[in-house]
Amino acid sequence: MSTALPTALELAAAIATGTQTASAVLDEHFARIEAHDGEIQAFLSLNKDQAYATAQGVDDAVKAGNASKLPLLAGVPIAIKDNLNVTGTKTTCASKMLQSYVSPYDATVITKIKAHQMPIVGKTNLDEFAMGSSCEKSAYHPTYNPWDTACVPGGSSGGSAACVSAGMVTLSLGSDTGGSVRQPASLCGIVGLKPTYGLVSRYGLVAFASSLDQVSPFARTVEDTAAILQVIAGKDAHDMTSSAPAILPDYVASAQAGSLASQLAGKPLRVGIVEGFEGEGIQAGTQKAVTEAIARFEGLGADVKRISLTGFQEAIAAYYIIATAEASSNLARFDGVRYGLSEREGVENVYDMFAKTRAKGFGAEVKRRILLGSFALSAGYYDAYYGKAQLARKVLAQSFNQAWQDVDVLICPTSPSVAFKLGEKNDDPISMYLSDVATIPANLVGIPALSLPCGFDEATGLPIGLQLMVPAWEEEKLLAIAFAFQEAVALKNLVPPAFQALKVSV
Amino acid sequence: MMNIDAETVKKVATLSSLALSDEEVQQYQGELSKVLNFVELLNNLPLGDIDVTSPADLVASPVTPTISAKDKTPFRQDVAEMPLSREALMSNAPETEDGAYVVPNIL
Repeated sequence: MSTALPTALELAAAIATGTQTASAVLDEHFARIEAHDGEIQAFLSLNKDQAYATAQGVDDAVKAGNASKLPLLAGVPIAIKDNLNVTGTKTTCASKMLQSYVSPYDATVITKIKAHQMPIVGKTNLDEFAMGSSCEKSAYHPTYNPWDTACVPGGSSGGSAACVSAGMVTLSLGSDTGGSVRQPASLCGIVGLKPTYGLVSRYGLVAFASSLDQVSPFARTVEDTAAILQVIAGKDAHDMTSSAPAILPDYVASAQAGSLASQLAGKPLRVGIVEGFEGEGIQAGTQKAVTEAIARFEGLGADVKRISLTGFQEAIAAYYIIATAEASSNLARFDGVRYGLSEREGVENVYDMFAKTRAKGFGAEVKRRILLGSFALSAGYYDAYYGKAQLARKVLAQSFNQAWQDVDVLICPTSPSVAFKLGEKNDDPISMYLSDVATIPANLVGIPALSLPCGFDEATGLPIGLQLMVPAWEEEKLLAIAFAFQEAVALKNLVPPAFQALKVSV
Repeated sequence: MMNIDAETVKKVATLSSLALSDEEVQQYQGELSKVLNFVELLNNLPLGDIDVTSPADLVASPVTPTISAKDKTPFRQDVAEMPLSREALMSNAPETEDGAYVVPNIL
């Protein structure tokens, strides 16, 4: 099953060979945004002038006979989560706190995207400051799932997922702190990749939890995912936690037929199924799809075994201490002095201004996490909460390291359920937090993980995502495995039927 | 069971520079207690088996660097770079005067 909409690599090829201009590609994508975003509401702002200027530059290069010198993905439109700084655009983090903030600089990933001459069409919706799993916690409006607009697209990068799913763009960037790219990719039937911590620079990404955050791409195929990773990866002097190799691997070559066989050098692929994703709490349709995915891997000649990872199910508890502790520190910068909202009316002194500005600017979920994080770090509770959570992180890292002795890749459902209805999980923070139970461990230990479609739920018709996890720095193998699975399951470039009418020509 | 009292919520709100209404204090008292009880899950783990010899051991490195040992402690050349201009950096400030940020009374 696939659709007639072109992929990012097909668009890039059409532009470079002159069968289509970058400006016309942009016209057609803006036409799709105009037709569909009223219903989906993926975008917080559009960036037409900058985008057309970039497209014109690509067209001028082609006209001047320099098409062969164009970088990978030149002219391919991309959407950016609104917590990444793009010079001259608003970066609101979907918060009232930053309602009028205009970025004075580019994030490093944006510098790279600009160097690759990719038009940035706009900034996408998110849960406020990337804190949430449904995109309902945006201070502006929710985003709706293109497969069923009564459902959430997942979050926090819900806008970036929905606009790729609905074919408004072929590529987007989000950020993944506990699953904020993989979970919405799963709920929207597309591909989401969280790279190894450090492979992509975090400079210019508004920080939520610095030891977990990673800029992460969305696409509708594994090949496109590899291509955009190629663009954004790399060590950056502005991010001292980035530690990518000096010469990047050829990720695009990894996502091709035959790549997996050559990487495994004739040995069978060893697949580990993470235990704990059967029975209670996991939807029947999701369990069935994962069982079928296991059979596909066996069909590919893989050795499949079950793996029990100590600390995997408990990771979510450690995460909600560590992530909130880091957030309480990172979000201290929003104090009404240097940027953002500032409450000056009727304040007694500067401390009163801090407290009232933050009370007015932050939404309820952000306040809850700041309070929880401050509590976990406060005197008398530090050892019992923050210290214990860090120990749990070490236990988890040890169990992953042990598992890598036996398997090349670990698999499990990306999300315990398909997309849920708006409002369904709003009453109880814990039930919302639990939708990230499978994705959080990869952030805690820093490994790369990818979600891709593995089937549809019969009861609802909604897409189901499979998560693949590999050891740190093994993105090439991850992409090769994902590509092989994508070809076997024959689910790629999915766009919901209601969004297929408007064509994009190549 | 870990139950947070209203005083603790108020103390943490002060630490967080967050003004809370009485209703919010009550709301967060319940919600934070719920989350902290959920975190008790961590007691299922063999945490005592982890070797902690210094406080630094508690701050887990997310990734064991495998690219190069040199990356373990990242160094860079001490070269001056042109930073953003003061005007650009201050362009989002609520109030400025003579290149300085203006805030309400400190004392």
